[in-house]
Amino acid sequence: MSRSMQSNGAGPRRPGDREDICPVCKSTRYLNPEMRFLVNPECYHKMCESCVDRIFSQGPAACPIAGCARTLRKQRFRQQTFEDLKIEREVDIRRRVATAFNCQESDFETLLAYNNYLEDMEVATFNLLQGVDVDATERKLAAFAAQNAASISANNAKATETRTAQHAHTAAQKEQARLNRAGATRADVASMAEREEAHREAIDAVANAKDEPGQKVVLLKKSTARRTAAEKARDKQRQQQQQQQLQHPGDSTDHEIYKIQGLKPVIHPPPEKAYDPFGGMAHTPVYYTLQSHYEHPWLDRARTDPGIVAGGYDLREYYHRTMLAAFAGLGCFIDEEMGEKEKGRGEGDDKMVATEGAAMAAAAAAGADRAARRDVL
Amino acid sequence: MRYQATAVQYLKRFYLTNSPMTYHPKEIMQTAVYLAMKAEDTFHSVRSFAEKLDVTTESILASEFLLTQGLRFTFDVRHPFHGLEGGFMELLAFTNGKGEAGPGVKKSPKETREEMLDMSPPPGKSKAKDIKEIVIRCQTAHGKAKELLKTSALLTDAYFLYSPSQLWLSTLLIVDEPLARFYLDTKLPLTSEVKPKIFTVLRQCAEMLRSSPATQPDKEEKKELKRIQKKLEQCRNPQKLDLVAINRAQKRDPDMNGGDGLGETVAKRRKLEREQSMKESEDLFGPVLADKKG
Amino acid sequence: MPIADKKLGEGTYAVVYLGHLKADPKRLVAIKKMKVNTAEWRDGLTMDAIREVKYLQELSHPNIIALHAVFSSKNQNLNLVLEYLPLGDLEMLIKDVDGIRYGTAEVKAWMGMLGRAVWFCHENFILHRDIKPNNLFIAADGEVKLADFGLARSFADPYRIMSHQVITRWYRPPELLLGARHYAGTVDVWSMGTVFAELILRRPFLAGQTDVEQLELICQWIGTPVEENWPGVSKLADYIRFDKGNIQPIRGKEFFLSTFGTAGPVGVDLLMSMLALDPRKRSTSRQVLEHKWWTSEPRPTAKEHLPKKGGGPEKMGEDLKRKGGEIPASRGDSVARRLDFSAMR
Repeated sequence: MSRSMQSNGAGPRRPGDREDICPVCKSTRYLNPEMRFLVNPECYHKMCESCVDRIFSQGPAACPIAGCARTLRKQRFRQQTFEDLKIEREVDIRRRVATAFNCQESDFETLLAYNNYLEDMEVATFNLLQGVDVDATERKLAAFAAQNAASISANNAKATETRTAQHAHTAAQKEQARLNRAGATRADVASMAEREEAHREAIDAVANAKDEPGQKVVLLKKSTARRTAAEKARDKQRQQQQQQQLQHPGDSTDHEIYKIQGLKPVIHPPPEKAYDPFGGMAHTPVYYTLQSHYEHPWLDRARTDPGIVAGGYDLREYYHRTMLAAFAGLGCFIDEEMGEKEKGRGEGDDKMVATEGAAMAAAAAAGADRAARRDVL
Repeated sequence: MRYQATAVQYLKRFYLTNSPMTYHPKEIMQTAVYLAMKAEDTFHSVRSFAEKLDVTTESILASEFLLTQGLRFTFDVRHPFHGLEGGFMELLAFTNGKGEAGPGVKKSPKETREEMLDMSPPPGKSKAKDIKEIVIRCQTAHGKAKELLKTSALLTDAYFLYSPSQLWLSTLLIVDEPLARFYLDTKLPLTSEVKPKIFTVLRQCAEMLRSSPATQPDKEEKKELKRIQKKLEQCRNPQKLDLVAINRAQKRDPDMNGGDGLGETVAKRRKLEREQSMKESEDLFGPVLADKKG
Repeated sequence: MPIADKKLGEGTYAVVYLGHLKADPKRLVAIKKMKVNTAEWRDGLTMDAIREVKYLQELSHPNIIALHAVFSSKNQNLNLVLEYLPLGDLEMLIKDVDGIRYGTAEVKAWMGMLGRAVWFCHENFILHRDIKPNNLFIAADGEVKLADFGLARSFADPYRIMSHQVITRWYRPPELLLGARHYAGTVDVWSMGTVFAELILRRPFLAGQTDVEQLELICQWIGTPVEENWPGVSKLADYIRFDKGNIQPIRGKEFFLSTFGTAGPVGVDLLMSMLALDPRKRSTSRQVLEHKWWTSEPRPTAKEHLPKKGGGPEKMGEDLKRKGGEIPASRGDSVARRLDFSAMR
């Protein structure tokens, strides 16, 4: 349908233009060659521009078409983009619905959710189109818009972002193409100049070589030997680029912007481990079982003297300490540890030994080295 | 009592990296005792301490920081005394028929009590007839082991090479081997792999303890000590002779630059010294010879 | 070798610098330089310095401040290279009532970290003896770290007397106020309980200006210690005979629930076990961690989500340079108070 645009902006001439009659003033194109029709989205009745000016310049008025009494405003008149007014109406309705329902497929995790969403959207559109339950649908739309205001605005932002990115990308591509062309022409010009230069040199060489009769100057054909270094560099670069593109077709930025994203990938967070109040450090002793009472005559006074006991002194702590000290580090063998010192860490058996081991290492001559390591020198 | 053992260990550690010729042991010893008291939570003011020893407070404080540095700031010393007490408590529990074997060993308290009665006697004694004798045996073993820990363990290098638990178990091994075996059998199952290793280590430690120098030197040793002392008087480092004076000099120029910067006066003095020594060495007849005495 | 960059704080006790490792300038450390031989202390190295070095060297735990190294400079100064904790301390978070909001889950997370730190100390037989929100620093990843071991010491030796003038007064348990010379790990548990209460109330729970007033507050809020509820208490050295008419029996669960309701009934149960008057009836640090509050709802928040506030390096310098056992000066300190002795006879 590519017809050249008429300079007065009247739009492409369509068949049946001659018969266009404004339903209000009954004027034809014959009388007014520049007649344009405007449509109001309220009732989708079309009329010529002069009628619109005449009737609605003083403010809103009723639609002049017989049988339609809707109040129209001059502002809302616009040119129709589609030949069929029904389609125009449908497109307007869809545009309105899309302002509320503007999620993409990549916002949904399951296909079912996406399909339900699309269904809602279509139901609303259908109702509005057919005039079924219009009030209820309008209210539903408004409610939906209000509820999801945040995500709608976010989606809008995303959409504008992608659009600008696409624009930038195409602009960049065009620029690149232009540069290539310019470069190519320049390259052509340059290579022409070089070839002329080489030719001239060859002739000069021949002319000068007449002095030395033994020499023969061979005029090489246009082969790789005659090409200058600059040309060779450029060829190499071009080859490299082509190779790159072949090897990484997925890297080409075209695909990033225009690919279909599909559903949002679902990442399940790793299951939370149960909270361990001890932080993983509780342990039971390996060598002994701690009892809550040990007979020891020396300790009896500590059990009974109220001056000691009332302050909260507990002999069980003493038992714990002595038993811990009795076996801590039993599995630590210094010579083994010194041998493993080079390889890394050499731990004893008990977990407690880790701290006891640190103390023991401080007590060990060999541990003086470890202390030196601690002294960050 | 514990701080004395700690003081001995401080001395040992200090002289790992310093020589007695630089710092005389007598001076360091009193500081070590004072520092050990502080580290083991028995604090006395330096004045009362100095009075008891009849020395000046300065002489104690002069080498305190030096000692700290020589120790590389490791103030904590783990002693085997707690462990020995714990083992003794458990042995008594076993005699009472209330002892619990370690996890991994399936012996009821009654069984262990019977085993105790069946233990082979210590060398030179006859087998026990009732549990009371076993109790006495445990007590004597405990007393002797404690003595050993207070003397031999401190005087040898055992603290550097064995953990505190290994130390007290090896003293028990020396004093009463069957008892020690019995005790370890209740802790570790017979099939455990680490048991033979532990026994080897304990025997090595016992060897070392047996070969420790005596606490009361006899006549020969006393003579030797006197000789060494005399020698020490001759070959001490003259610069470090008077620690008190060094300390005072350091305090006289307090360095206000933070971090590890040297004070200007000290730096200047060093520079002067250096220049002077360079001038001397360029002298036709060579530098001044070091003073032979002391 | 650490290099000092700038000073964070200075006091009579120590100077704190911010520094970095020479090998890796990105790793920041705090260098605490302790003054040896100051005018007020003539006995050589201070006990605080020795204790800090000794105990911090032995303890390696995610909830305890890490001592990286110790070195000395020429002029007899002791330098400790500590972890750098720039996000201030718990006291700041508690006091900022308008800026920082937190709920039961956060309290649970913080108390869990504190509980683990104290339990680890006790497992190694070290009493901290200065637990308060001021000494609980926040690391960059949100972990709470216990610092300031200047008053710490080992315990559990029978017949060894210990000083009762330890722990900052507001967090001191009644047995210390009554002069007990033998005590156990439960003194730290009382301090933990008061910190717990402070986290919930967002103000110090028992804030007495003198020892006597502190005891009064304990009587009022927890109960008066008498032979009936604490056998043997009358034998303690500084025991005071309370007026018979004024005896407050031990407060029950309803009382605590009304004041500390946000912790929930299980949490209040734990709080009461930590603030029991008789130290033998108080939970030990292990029992605190075995309580069922930790595994009941709500789950403690992960450390990444805990509220943080940049106290800045200055606060760390301020806190570290303070001497153990000090209460930060507040406006009311210089005002003369009229003491009410009517309850005491």
